[in-house]
Parts: sequence; structure tokens; C-alpha cells
Amino acid sequence: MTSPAVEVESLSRWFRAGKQRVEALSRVSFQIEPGSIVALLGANGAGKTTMAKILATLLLPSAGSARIFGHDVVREAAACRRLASVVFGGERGLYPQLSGRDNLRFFGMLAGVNRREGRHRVPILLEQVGLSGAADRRVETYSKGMKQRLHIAIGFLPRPQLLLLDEPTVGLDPLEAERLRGAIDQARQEGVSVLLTSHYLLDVERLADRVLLLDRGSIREDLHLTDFIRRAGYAAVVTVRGSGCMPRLDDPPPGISLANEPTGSGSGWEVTLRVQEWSPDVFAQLATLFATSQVTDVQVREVRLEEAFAQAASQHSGSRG
Amino acid sequence: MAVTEVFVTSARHQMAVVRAHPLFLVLGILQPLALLLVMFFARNRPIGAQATAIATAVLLMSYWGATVWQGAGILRRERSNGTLGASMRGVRSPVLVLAGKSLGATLLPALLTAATVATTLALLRTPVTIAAPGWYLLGLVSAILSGTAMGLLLCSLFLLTRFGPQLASALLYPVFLLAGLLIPPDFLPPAVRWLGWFVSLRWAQQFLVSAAGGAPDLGSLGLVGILTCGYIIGGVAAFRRIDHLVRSRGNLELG
Repeated sequence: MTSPAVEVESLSRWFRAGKQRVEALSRVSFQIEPGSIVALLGANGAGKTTMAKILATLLLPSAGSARIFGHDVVREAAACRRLASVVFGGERGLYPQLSGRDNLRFFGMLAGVNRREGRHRVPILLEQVGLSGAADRRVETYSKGMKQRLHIAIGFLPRPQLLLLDEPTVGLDPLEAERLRGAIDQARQEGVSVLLTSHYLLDVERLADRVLLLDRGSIREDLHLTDFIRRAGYAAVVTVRGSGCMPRLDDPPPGISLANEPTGSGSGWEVTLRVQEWSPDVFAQLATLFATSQVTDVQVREVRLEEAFAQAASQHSGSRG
Repeated sequence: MAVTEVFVTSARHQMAVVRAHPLFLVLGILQPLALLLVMFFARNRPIGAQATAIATAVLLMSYWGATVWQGAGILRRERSNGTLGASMRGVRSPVLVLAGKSLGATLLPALLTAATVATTLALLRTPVTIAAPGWYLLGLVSAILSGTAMGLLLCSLFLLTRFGPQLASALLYPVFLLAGLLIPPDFLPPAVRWLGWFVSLRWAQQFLVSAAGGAPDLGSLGLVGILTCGYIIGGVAAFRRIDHLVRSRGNLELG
């Protein structure tokens, strides 16, 4: 039987801050199947980076265990390092006085890429991340986005079986971010597993198979992406604009609710509704609601991941309070 | 991947880092030039064995300066760049990588120092006599390896304390004195003279001068070897301590 790419069991990590013990992770358990992309979501301080550092063998857990393809991150750290690449990204983590090519070669050597393979792979990766033209320039002259692309090339260089990506699209322009999403998706198709932590929910929406919601060091949700999005409590948002009298929406039919108070002035109005679930009846109900109004525009969009995230976050903060 | 490939790649990487900053020109040209001129004119243009002893002392002093300013600061600079984490979680032995970097940090200033000393002596028309050049070369290689080991030890120790830069400054001249590079060790007060026994440069200096005179003092070379092993053991232990602190307490900043 194939081992899970990542297997975390009752993992806890605490730090000492003076005489106090601060718990960054508390009895966290989850698995990542080979070839899948799992997003780790959570507010700042939720424990995402601590989790990533433990899986990257940079930090020891205080209790519990974590395994990468069956190898324990504490006892078999070297084996884990051969299998997993980590991309923390950001402005640091590179040698600013050296060129992008020299950085890539050196980090490749650290990751176990031998000289012959490096000679073959380095130009390909520089081309893939769009840095061929700047490969021999010092990294200190790179923009934030170029540094991020170099980090990503470093992560991909040793052909890892598991990628730990922390905010991979930070600093990238929309085209570059889309290109990176394509590269991550391609890696998944080649069997690479990915743990993605990101505040950019578009990355998660486009890439993730599953979502883990981390809140104050504990896993609050562990759902497939579609199930997680359903946690928003509605399937779509309908925005209706019109002129003349404001429609009466005191008692909307079941399955339809007001997203916020209608807005309007003498010349026009706007109403935003949430549709719990699509069915043929919904169209008839919407037609009835606005039967006596002069509708000029209707826009329909699917519920977004950020709405599900906000709903889940407020639900958990409410349950704490 | 062969151990030598990791070591050589790390050394070449660090040489590129050193080359990117003009400090290596100060360490490899200005410092030995100033030291050589001061010592030569203070002793009224010595020749022969005395000139060789002075040139040897200048080589070792400049090399020690490069060890302190380049080698001993490797890990602090890695922490400041945010690259320390990558070095420590690499597939390759972090100690081997660090040893390669330690050699790379001092090799370029050392080669430049040798060229500066040779050129200056030629311009001053001061011949030096080296009766046993093979032994002398072996002594220089031993001194470089010992400096590499010292760099490994110091850069690990300097990461464990917040006073690394201050310690580096404080160590520079006392080691010149303890090693007998500026004045003979017998001139030091007895209370501190014994400290010189633990400075490999002292024995390297004695061996090099004896080799230049044609009677290599193999006992001094042996002490260089023993002390170098001690520095390596201390450096590896200090580095393992850093690894333990980082992974268990999470209290050293990593990339």
C-alpha cells in the first residue's frame, strides 16, 4: 500500500514566551494523498508557517508525529528532505550578491542535484520561470516578483515528490501568477503532492482539491473544496438593478435571502440576494419578486471561496466567544 | 554526489560571495602591504632569515584577519540573508557545506595576500631564503586548513552569541600577540603566555620559520594538526548545538 504523501497525527507545537507557554499547534491530524493539492488556510498566527516548518524539518514537534511518504520528520529528517521541497518565498532567502543562476546552482547542490543534472536543469527552469534574460544579473537587482520566481525555480529544481508552498504567488503580476498556477497544476498531474498555504484564495480556488482550515493551532475544517465552498450556506449571489419604485422584499421566498440592505436613490436601486441552491423554481420565484419592478440589469455569480472562508472563520470565532 | 564535490562547490560559492564585496581587497592587499612596510622599515630593511620571518608573520597575520572578518561571519551573514534554513535543511551534510564555505571565505584573501607579499618584497629588492620550500609549502597549507577549522568553530560560536562582531574585533590583536606574530611569545606576561599554546598560528609560525631555515620543526607541525582537529571537533559540536536550538526551540531566525 502506498504511504500518504503527508501523515500528521496529534501534532502539537508550543513555544516558551517568558513564563508562558504559547501553543502554536494543538493536536493537529490530517493526511495528504499522493498527487493531490491541499490548501492550508487560516488567519495570521493560526499556525500555518509552524506546520510548514515542521514538515520542512526546520522545527521539531513538541508532541505527536509527522511523516512524509512514511518517513518520520524527526528520526528520518534526511529522507524527508530528499522527498520534499519547500518554498517560503519573499525578499530574503537568496544570496543577493550572486546571480540568479549561481543561486539556483548552489541551492540545487544543497538539495542533492549533482553538477551534470544541474547543468541540464538550471537553464530549463530559468526559462520556465521567465528569468533566462536576467539569469546572470545579481539578485539584489531583481524585483520582488523576480525573486519570487527564483524561489519557485529553486523549489522545483530537485524534482520533489512533495512541494510545500508558502504564499507562492506573492509579488507576482497576474500573468506570472497564472503561469505559476499552471506549473503547479502540471506538477500535480505528474504525481507531485502539494501543501499550499496562501492568503490568495484565488490560488486555492484554482488549484486545491481539499481545504484545511487552521484556527488558533487547531484544524477546524477538513473538506473537499466544493464542500468547503458550500459552507458559505448559499450557491450563488444575484444582483438586480432597476429603476422606478424599489421592489418589496420583506418576505422573500424560502431559499432566497437578502445579502444586504437594498440601496437606491430616486433614479435607481440595487438589490443583492443569496440563492441557497439552484432549481427551476428559483427562476420563477425571482420573476415573481420583481414582477412589478422595472429591472434594468441582472448579474449572477457563483459563491466565492472567500465568502466560505469568511463564513467559516466567523463561525469559529463566534463559537469561541 | 561525492563529498569533494559538495566541499568544492561550497568553497567556490563562498569565494563568489567574498569576491562580490571589496573587503577582500582590503584584507588581501592593503592590510598585508601596510603590515609589511611597517615591519620592514621599523627593523631597518632586514634581509635573509629575518626578512623571511617577517614575511611569514605578515602572511599569517593577514590570513588570521581574513579568517575573523570573512570566515567567522559566515553563519551570521547567512542568518541575515535568510539562507541559513536552506543550508541546514539541505540533503548534503550542513557541516561539510560550512567547512567548504569556511575555506572559500579565506582562500581568496590568502592567495591575494601571498601575491601582495611576494610583489612587495620584489619591489623592495629584499630576497627571502627558504631552505626547505617543500616543507614551507606544507606549512602554509596546514595553516590554511587550520584557519578553515578555526573559521568553522568561530562562525558557529558567533551565531550562539549576540556579541559576535564585538568578539571578532576583540580576538584579532590578542591572537597576533599570543601567536608570537608581532612580538616573541617570551615577551608576554607568564599569566597569559600559556594561552598561546592553543593558537595553531603560533606553531604554524614556528614551523614555517624553521622550514625556511632548513630544519623543519615537525613537533610544531604536529601541534598544528592536533589543534586543528580540536577546532574541528569544537566547530562540529557548536554547529550541532545550533541545529538543536533551531529545531527544538525555534529561537534562531531562519529563512
